[in-house]
Amino acid sequence: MIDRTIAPEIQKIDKIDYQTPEEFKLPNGIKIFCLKSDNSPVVKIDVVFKAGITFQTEKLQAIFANSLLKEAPEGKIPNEIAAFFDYYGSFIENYVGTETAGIKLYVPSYFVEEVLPVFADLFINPSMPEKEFGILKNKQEQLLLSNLEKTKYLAMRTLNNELFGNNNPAGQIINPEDISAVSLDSIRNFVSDYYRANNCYIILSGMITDDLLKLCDKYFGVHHVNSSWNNNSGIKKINYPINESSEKFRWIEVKNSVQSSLYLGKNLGTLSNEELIDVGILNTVFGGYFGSRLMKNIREDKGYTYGIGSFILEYPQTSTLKITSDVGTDVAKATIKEIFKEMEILRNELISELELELVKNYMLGEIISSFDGVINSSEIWEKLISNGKSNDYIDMQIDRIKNITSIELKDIANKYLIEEGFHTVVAGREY
Amino acid sequence: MINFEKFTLENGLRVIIYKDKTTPIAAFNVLYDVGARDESENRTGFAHLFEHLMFGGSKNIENYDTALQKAGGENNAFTNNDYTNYYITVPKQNIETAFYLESDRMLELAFSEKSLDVQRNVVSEEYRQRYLNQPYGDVSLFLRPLAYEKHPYKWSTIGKNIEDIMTASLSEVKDFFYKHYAPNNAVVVIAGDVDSDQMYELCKKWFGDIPNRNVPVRNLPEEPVQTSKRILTLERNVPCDAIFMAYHTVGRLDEEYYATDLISDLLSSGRSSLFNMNLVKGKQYFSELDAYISGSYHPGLLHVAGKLYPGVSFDNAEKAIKEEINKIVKGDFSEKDLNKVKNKSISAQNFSRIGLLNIAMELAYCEWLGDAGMINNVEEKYMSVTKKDIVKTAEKIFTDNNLSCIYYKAKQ
Repeated sequence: MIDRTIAPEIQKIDKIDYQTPEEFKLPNGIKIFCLKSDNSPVVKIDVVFKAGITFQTEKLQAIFANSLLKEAPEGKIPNEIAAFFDYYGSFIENYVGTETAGIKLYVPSYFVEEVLPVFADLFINPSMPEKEFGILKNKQEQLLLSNLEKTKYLAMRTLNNELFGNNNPAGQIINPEDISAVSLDSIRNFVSDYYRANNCYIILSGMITDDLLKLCDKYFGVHHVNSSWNNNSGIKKINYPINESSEKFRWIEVKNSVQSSLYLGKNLGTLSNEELIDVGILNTVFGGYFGSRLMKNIREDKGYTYGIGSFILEYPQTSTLKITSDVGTDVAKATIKEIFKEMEILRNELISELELELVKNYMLGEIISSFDGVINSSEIWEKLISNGKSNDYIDMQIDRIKNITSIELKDIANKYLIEEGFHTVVAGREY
Repeated sequence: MINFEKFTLENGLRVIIYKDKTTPIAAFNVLYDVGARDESENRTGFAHLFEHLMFGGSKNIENYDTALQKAGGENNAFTNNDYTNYYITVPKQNIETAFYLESDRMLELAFSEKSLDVQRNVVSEEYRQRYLNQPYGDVSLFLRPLAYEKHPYKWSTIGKNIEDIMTASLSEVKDFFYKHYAPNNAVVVIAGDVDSDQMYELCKKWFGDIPNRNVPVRNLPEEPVQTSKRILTLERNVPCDAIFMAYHTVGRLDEEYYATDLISDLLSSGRSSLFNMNLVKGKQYFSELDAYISGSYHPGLLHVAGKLYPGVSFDNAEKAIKEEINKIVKGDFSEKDLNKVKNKSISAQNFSRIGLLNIAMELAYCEWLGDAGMINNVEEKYMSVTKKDIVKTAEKIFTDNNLSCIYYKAKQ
């Protein structure tokens, strides 16, 4: 019989091997990052632009541009293009972030030769069709109306507004009339200003062959085409100020809600890579994983919520710490109190060696899993490359996780986890 | 081709090993053959509540999560109407920790009042968050009992109501455990850069001495054939009207399953699907319109769910949906359309199989269905569906007598 009271010995994670992308440059300057794997007959192509919301001069420009771009290249019928991609078993995903925006193509490797030329043409000869623009407006409006019924959405957008102000795209509140006001001309201008060869890079992941690289060269590297794709003039950059509100608490009344959504947040200012990593480790302890202080207290001890978490987001001029949870309306006050109490404990008491060891192992394990399969790791690389980072950042992160001490974490808590500067938003029936 | 090895321990535990030398992580998946269908009608939501309790400590391990996080691992679980699935990913060098954790809670749970008390609250907040505090969130709570009269699929995994969960007692929890959590009622899959002999030894070491248990033979009532259309109207504070339709279909192991799945794809998979082309873009009746199948073990449902634009009546919406459906019934689609949805299915499968955990789960699921080897003939099954099969299946599914329909009205 085995002795079940003795846990298997845990092997320390000393070294993490991960695949670094190979880098190429097309003749027109586009950087290509390659993550090769022969595991499954699939290819993912990420085309990433600096075309996030922070570049827009009008509300919703970035998201409309990104959505419409995928519809069809000039001279082609959107419905036929949709049928074309579907026929070849490919999927297109589009997203818009604060700084970057992109379009991802998922394609079976055995169809990439057929699909890639049409995919590239979306960028090189964008059409931005009028009919699809109208449909997109209607859909966006329905989506917004639906979101306005959700306490979580209401709390989130109010918090962003408090943190960044009305003039900053990161803080702007979108109303139905803003959607009606979007004009196709301004969307087209945005595309020609930002969706260009000199403002993008590409990540290829999956079953990549030399032929695929040649295809990229042929179809993305075109310089004979006379379109805005090859416009080499500088990219317009707008520096939006952060207008943080002086209000520290907001309650949004939502009649009939059975839960209250809480959103708390604080601008941490510009952080160096090392500071960002350190705050990230502290955040993991605080609310960044299932065994975090917040989860243990609010969910596993008190049962106030199905989930509570905290995370750090990077914006152009600041990093921001946010905490969010949906809780019973009657325990919203108690939950907020506990959140600040957990911050206080991290400021005043050293994290035990046992807990710190656990968090370190957990975080290293998480880094290892993020490199399971190249499609997974392409997402990691995209974030790094977009933020101007390289594998040095991962190495530094691994190093800091291994070596950070409880004393250092306490210092970090005293610098960043201070109640002052936090904004709290509650959306729910009562408060 | 997914290559795997399989063996069964003396206590009846089935184990599958899948080797992948290219990944730094290992996956450990345990599927128990127990779901919401095994609950009694006055204790709905129990299988799911129980899944939460499985993390409240076991006989020799006070805290499951802590022990796993120490090894650099992550885990989660889900419950559906058919089965309950637990999964772990961990750096491969620490795979034994997964054996230690999963075998101890298969052996015996800790059963504490405090854990039950807290998880009852957590689950009731989950109930509120997912079903009550979201627009349209409660629709499945009404659609299931409309479509099913007898079969236990008539209640949702979360349960019929919060009271069932809130009044569950510790003795019921114990009873449920010994009835359903047993080596002879589970499938284990280990995946990653692992050695088969070593995995076999570890299985014997950690799971070998867990006794098999008397798992009750399942004897579920069959759902009688529906004979007339069922309609329910709900009125709620939601931004727009929505329609939810459900047609009875076959179970997962029926040969018609693949045709049924492809029918739902023809209707709504991809931007060039019938629904998207003709009703979202063409007529612009819907801001969203989807079709999907439940994929359940026993005869399941093909769902159609759509959000109506203002000014579109339920009557016109339903008619328009049926017009598209009739195109399939009449065979008014091309071979190329059929090839398109087949290509999409296979591509989606290949993308899903990039992740180690997905393969582990799929293997466990196939073995639970009867044979892990099914993982390698799914592609062939989809490819061999003919236009004739599609039409024949569609003719059977799409009659009004087979339809349950919810008109979800926005309060003015």
